[in-house]
Amino acid sequence: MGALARYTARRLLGAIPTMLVIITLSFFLLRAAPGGPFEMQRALPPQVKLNLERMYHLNLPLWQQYLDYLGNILHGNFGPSFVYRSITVNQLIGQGFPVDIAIGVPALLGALLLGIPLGIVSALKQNSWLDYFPMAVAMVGISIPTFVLAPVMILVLAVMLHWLPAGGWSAGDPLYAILPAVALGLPLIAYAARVMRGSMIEVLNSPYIRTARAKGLPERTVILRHALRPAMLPMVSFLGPAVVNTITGSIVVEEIFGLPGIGRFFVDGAMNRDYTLVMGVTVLYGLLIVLFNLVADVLYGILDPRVRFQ
Amino acid sequence: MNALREMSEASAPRAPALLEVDDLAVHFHVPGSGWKERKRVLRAVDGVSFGVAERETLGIVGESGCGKSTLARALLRLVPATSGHLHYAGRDLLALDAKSLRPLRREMQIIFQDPLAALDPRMTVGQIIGEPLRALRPELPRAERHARVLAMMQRVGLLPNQVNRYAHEFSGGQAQRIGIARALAVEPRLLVCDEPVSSLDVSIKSQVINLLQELKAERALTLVFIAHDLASVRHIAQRVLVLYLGRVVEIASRDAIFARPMHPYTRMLFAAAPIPDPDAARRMRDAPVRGEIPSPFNPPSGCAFRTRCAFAVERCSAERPLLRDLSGGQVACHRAEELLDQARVPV
Repeated sequence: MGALARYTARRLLGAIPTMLVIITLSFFLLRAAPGGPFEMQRALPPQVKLNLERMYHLNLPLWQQYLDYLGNILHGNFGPSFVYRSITVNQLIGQGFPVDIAIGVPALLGALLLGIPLGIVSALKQNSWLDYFPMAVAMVGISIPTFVLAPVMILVLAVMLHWLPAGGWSAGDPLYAILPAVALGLPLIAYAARVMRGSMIEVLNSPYIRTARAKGLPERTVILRHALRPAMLPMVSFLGPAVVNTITGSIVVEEIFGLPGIGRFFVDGAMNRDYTLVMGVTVLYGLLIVLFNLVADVLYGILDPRVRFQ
Repeated sequence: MNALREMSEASAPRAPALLEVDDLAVHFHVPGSGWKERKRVLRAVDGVSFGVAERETLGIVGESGCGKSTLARALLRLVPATSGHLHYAGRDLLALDAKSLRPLRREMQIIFQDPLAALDPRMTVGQIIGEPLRALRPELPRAERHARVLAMMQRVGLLPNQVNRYAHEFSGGQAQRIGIARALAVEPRLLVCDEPVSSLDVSIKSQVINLLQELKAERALTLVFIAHDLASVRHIAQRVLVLYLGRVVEIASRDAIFARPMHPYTRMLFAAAPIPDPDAARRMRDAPVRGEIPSPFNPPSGCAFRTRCAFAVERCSAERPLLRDLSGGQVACHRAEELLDQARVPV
């Protein structure tokens, strides 16, 4: 595994320029957008605006702001929020991220623990009702957008039946996480099941599975030992980005359920030109994407010895 | 069935057959291409009967798509047979359930056409060769299993220090050696070789065939050797079966069939084989390959070969010729006798 450690280290080093590009691009793009954090419908008195700009160093030349920002990021400091006064971006992320984790992790676990087994069963019982039924349900799950599914669930389970809260968040109360997690997780489960079914069917038709049967292995061994690992490869490529999408893509779910997650800060920040907040979330998302792509690649190598870490 | 047995005994009075195939059929149901089209039936193997005696090498030849590989797989029940009978050492293979079939895998093994694809890329050579032992000889201690793997590797010409390499690190010829080692590790009696050398280079081909021949002699193997390459069949087989569109058209001893092919299709097949001899090549023009192999979805009526046969008469489309004894072998052609007489005169 020495090669693997070296590979990981090199990939992490390689992530530095990627992150630099993300930071630089989003920094200047954001500044190029018209308007600013202190442009209100009613113009501020010039002196007030000047003072505000001085306080947040917005009066300095852009290149100097950029270098200062880079320096701060290196110290793990995303700076103060321009809109949520007296709170830093770090604090906002620290508040919002646990919410996203609380709904994202169950959603992903659902994809792993329900989607994958469903896909395997469908593949093994291909063209039987054990295949058709879950796959039809999965197709429906993929086709119905979250912004339809979530309100329907709220309507039925919260408004009509009063089983679960309709929205909002209360830290530490899992009841509030159930509906958002389901809304986020159902499409994931459906996708995972379909991806898994497809790759499993393909693997089961491959010549070395025939060899495994010819060897006289029990069918269980053929599937667990020979079919499952290669069939997991497309799953890994699916789950890497899916993890990031679940976290970033929860914006819609957060909006519908009124959750104080990062996604909402991101949207609000972008609307209000809250430079530091948008930057902070962008950098965080960028890091997550780079990280999970690396995890996916490493898993790939572990599942398939033909992948060499060089 | 009894009739068949009498027939094969009459034509070949040898030891009782180790493998007996009686009217075996493998049909595949292929979904129609459009939503209107109904499912179609592909008759990959249709009414095939033959026997293989202990320690015999039976060669099976035919064009691509004639059902050779399907037949090979059906013999080991790697694809389900649609109908017919399959007896191995007196046991009815098709009547066994998956569990009672497994012990028989120790006796019947197969090597495949594409050796690299047939090896699990996630396993080392040692695991690949050792796995059948682990599954079928669980009583063997680990050390013994490992020793057998190494001995097997050495026997097929692999180096023992390659035991931890992955299959994809080997060339095609080496991969086929791994395949042979894997198949023979459990010491089977019957080895089905499904075009074992057709994907290999010419120089490697003969090495692998010679290896198979040595192993056959050493281990008293019974071989079913499938190929479309006539030279290797001629080299290794004692008897040759010719398959056309899923049906047997001729079975005869190697010497008889190569000297005097009875069925027009056999003649065409042999004539089409490239021979490094200009005179022979000239003769080839007299029996050129005509037409394409018809669709196995909808085989011609009567004799399946009649659409390409230079000797076809009305009877050939009306009546399917049965496999019958003739001149020491078996042939399925209405006009075999006439053609046999003709063949005595140089064409």
